[in-house]
Amino acid sequence: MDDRELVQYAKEDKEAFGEIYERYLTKIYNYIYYRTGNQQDAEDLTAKVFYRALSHIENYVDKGVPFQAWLYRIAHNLVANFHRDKGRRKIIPLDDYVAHTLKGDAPDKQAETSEQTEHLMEAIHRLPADRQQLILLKFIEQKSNAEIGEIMDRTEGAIKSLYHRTLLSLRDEIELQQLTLKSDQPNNREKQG
Amino acid sequence: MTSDVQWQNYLNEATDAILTGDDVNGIRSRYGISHKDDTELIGLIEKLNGSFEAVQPTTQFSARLKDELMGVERTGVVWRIRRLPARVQWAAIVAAILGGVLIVIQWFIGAGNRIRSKDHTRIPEEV
Repeated sequence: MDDRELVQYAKEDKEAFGEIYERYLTKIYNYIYYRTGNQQDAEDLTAKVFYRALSHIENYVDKGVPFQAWLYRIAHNLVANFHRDKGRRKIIPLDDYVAHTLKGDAPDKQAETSEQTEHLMEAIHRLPADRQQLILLKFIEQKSNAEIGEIMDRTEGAIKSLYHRTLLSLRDEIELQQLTLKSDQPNNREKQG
Repeated sequence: MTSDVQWQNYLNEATDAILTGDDVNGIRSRYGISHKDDTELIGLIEKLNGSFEAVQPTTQFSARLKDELMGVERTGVVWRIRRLPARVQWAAIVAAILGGVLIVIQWFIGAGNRIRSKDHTRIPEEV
């Protein structure tokens, strides 16, 4: 059964909503996990997404956009509210997913890769929310530009252009980060001396 | 000279190739871009590709949330404890352990007192 039919059933039948939940739980959880940086917040927000979807599905109108776009928009709004309320955008704990992505590597390689991944994640989290969303949809969900456009309510061309600008600003962020680190090192040595 | 639009198209195609594990060289030569010009950006795309790994929600979380959404009523002390936030769960575990330790200590003290009082009340066998 495709999403369109399933959503029609889900308006009256909770079992059908359960099927939607099974289809999209992992995707939504992943998206939120990488936007918040820890399991606890990812679980709380994922639960909120599905509660909100359940309570609003009766009013859902199919406008030709895939149902998953609707779910991702709920997730995106809840994550945005979460960061706004908590003022956490710039102090996201990175340990959870840095540790997660390094499972199985040799310890010396882990240390090096861990530092690189942490810098990359820090740079990603300094990007505006829409650019972070684009990166996650592309690299975790591996969605096409057309699909990302449907989720973010933009044209495919606009997504292509946004992706280009995102890569450039991410590169600049990383360069800036490296310069700051280098300039901090002599200061630290002076303090220690 | 490569225009902005060509760069956009190139980077999108190159990303798709990297995501599927294909070679970028063919795409690079088709767009007439030299290796020197795209090293940083292609390196960044490769880093991004290697940094994100799909995560799975725990089975307990998935099952609990589904039950809650479906309106399945669950009872029992263990389920009630599982619904509590992690910090409260830890506090409950610590309280249970401390309670257990106190009971054991009380039991040993009580047993010691009983043995001592038995010794005092013992009647001498021969006078």
